[in-house]
Amino acid sequence: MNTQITRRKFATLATSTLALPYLSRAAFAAGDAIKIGMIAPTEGQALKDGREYTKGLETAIQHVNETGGILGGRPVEMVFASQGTTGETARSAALKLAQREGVHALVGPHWADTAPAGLSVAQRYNLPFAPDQGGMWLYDQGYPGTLGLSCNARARTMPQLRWLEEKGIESVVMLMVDIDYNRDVEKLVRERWERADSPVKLLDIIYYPWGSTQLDTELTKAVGQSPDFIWAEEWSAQVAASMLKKLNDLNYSGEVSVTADLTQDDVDNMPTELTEGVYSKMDWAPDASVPANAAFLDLWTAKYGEGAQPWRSAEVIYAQSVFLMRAMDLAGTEGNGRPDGLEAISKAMRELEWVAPTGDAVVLSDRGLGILPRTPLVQVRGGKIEIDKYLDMTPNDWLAELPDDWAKL
Amino acid sequence: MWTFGQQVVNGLVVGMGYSIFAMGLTLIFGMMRVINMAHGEFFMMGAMLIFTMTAVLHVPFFLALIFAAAIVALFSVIFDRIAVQPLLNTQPLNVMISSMAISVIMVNLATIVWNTDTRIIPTPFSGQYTFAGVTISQTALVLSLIGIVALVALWFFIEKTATGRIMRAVAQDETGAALIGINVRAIYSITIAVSGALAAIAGGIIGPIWSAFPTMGENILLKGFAVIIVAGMGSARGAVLVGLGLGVSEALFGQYVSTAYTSAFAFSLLVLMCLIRPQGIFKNA
Repeated sequence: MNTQITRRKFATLATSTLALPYLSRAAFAAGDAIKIGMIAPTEGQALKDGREYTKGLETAIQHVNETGGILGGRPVEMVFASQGTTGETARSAALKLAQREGVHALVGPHWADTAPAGLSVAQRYNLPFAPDQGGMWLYDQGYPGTLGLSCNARARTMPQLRWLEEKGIESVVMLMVDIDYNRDVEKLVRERWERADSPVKLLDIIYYPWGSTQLDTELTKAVGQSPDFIWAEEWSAQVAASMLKKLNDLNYSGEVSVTADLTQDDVDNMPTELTEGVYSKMDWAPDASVPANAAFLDLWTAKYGEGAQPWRSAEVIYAQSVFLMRAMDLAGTEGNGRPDGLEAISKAMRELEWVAPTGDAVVLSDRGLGILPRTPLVQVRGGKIEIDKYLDMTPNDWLAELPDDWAKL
Repeated sequence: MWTFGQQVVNGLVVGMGYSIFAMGLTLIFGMMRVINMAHGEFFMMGAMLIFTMTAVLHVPFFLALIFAAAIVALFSVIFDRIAVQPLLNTQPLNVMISSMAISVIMVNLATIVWNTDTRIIPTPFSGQYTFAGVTISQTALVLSLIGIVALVALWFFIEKTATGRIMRAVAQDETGAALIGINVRAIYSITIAVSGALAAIAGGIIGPIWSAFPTMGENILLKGFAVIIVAGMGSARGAVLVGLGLGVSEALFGQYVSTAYTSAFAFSLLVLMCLIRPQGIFKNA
C-alpha cells in the first residue's frame, strides 16, 4: 500500500481539517432546534446561583416550546457548560458551545469577573449575549448582542436611598463586605447622604473582609451607634443569617435590610424571630398578585413541585431568555452566527413589546440594558418573603457614568 | 461605655476559642517539638462535624461537640501515625511540611464534602443577660463555659492523672522515660489526640460565633502561632492569657480603629513581640 503523503493528499486533508468546525457549525445551524448555551457555575459557593440560572433557562425554554416554539414552530433546547471559576475556564466553556455545539446565543458566563470572556466569544461568533450581573462595563462595549435585565450597583442603590428617605429613616449604618461592587455603593451613598441638607444621617460605613464572618465586632460597633436602620450588603445568605442572629443577641431594635441573596429556603432554616421584618431589595421576586408573575410561578411549580420558590437569579435568567427568544422570533432569524443575523436580533430586542414577569413592559436601552420602571422590595413577614412594595426607578438609575448633578436626580 | 463592655465580652468569648486552640498547638510543640500545620484543619473539621450533626442530623449541640472532639481525636491519631511519627527522627522541617500537606488535603476534602459555603452552626441557646449595661448572649455565655470546662479538664488530665504524669515525664526526658519502660510512641499519640480534641472544641466555640467553612482553619492557625509565640513556646498558662488578650484587643481595635484590619493588628503585635521579647512573655530568656 502506498503510504506516501502527496501534496494533493496533504492539501485535501488540511483543507478538510480547517473547514471542519465551520462545516459542523453550518450543519447545526441548518437544523431544526435553536440552541441556547447556558454557561453557569457548578462548584463552591456559586453552585446555588448556577443551579438557579439553569432552572431559569430550562423553564423559559419549556414555556416557549409549549407555546409553539419560535420561528415557525421550531423547538428550542439548552446546551450547558460549566463556567468554572476563572476567565480562562469561562472562555473555554463559551468556545466549546460556540464552536462544537453551534449554539445560537450565550446566556452566561455570569458576573463581572467572567463575563468579559463570554463577551469576547460572543463577539467572535456574532451571538447574542445575556449574562446576569455583567457589570456596567458590559454595556459600555457597544456590542449589539448584549442583553441584561438585572440591576447594577446604581440601579440597586438609588431606589433604596430614596425609599429610606421617604420612610423617614433618620440614621443609617452600612455594614458591607469589602468587594468592588460595595465600593460603588459606598460612593453613591456618601455623595447623597453626606450633603448638608440630607434627611438621612449616615452614621458609619463598616467594612469586613470577604470570606470572614467574624461579625461580632462589626455588629457591636454598628448597634452601638443606635441607628434607625442597618443597611447590610453582605452578598451571602449564610452571612445574613449569622448577622441576624447576632443582631438579635445584641437586642437591636431598629430595622435591617440585606442583599438579594436571601431565599425562602434560607428564611425557612432560621428561627422566625430572627428574620421577622427584615427587608431585601430584589430586582426580581415572586409575586403571585401580578398576572404575568403568577403565570411564571405556575410554570415553576408545575416543573419543580408544589412549594418550590424561584430565586431572583432564576427569574432574571427566565426573563432574559424569554425576551431573547421572542426577539429572535420577531427578527425572523436565530442569527446563525452572521453579522446581519445579529443585527436583526439586536434591532428586534429594541422593538419588542414584552411584559416581564414583574408585570412591566421592558424597554431595552441602546446599550442592551433593560430599563425596568420599578423593582420589588421584599420583607419577611411571619416567616414568608413577601412583596412590601415596588420601588419606582428612573432612567437615571440605570446610568453607568454619573452626571455632575446626579445627586439631585 | 456599652460598646466598650460589649466588645470586651465579644473578645473574651473569641479569645477563649483562641486559647483552647493555642493550647493544642503548644501541647504538641511542648511534648514533641512538632509544629503542626494541620491544627487549623482539625479546628475546621470539628466545626464542620458539629454543623453536620446539629444542622443536618439534629444531634443535640453538646452531644455533637463531644462526638466531634472524639472523631477529630481519632483522626489525629491516624494523622500522627502516617504523617508525624515516621518523620520524627528526621529533620524537623519534614514533619512541618508533611503536616502542611495533610492540611491542604483536608481543605480539599472538606470542600468536596461540604463545598465552600459558609455554614451557620445552630445552638439551642437563645436570649441574653444584661450585666452593668453589657449584653451577653446565652450562646456566648455557654460557649465560654465550655471553654473553661475544657481548660480545667485539660489541667486535671495533665496534672492529676497517671497518663498526664507520664506525659510530663516524656516531655522532660524522652530517653529516660523510654528506659523505664514508657511507651513513648503511645504517649505521643495520646498527646496528638488531646490536641486534636482541643482544636475541635475550639471549633465548637468559635464556629457558632463566626460560622463554619472549609478554609476557616487558615486564619486561626496563624493567630494560634501568634498566641504561642507571644506567650512563649510551650507555656500553657501563657497561651490561655495571651489568647484571651488577643481576642479582646482585636475586638477593641475593631471598635476604635478599623474592623477591616483586625488580623493585620494581631500580626503586627506578633512582629513587635518577636522584636522586643523573642522568647515570649511567659518564658524566661
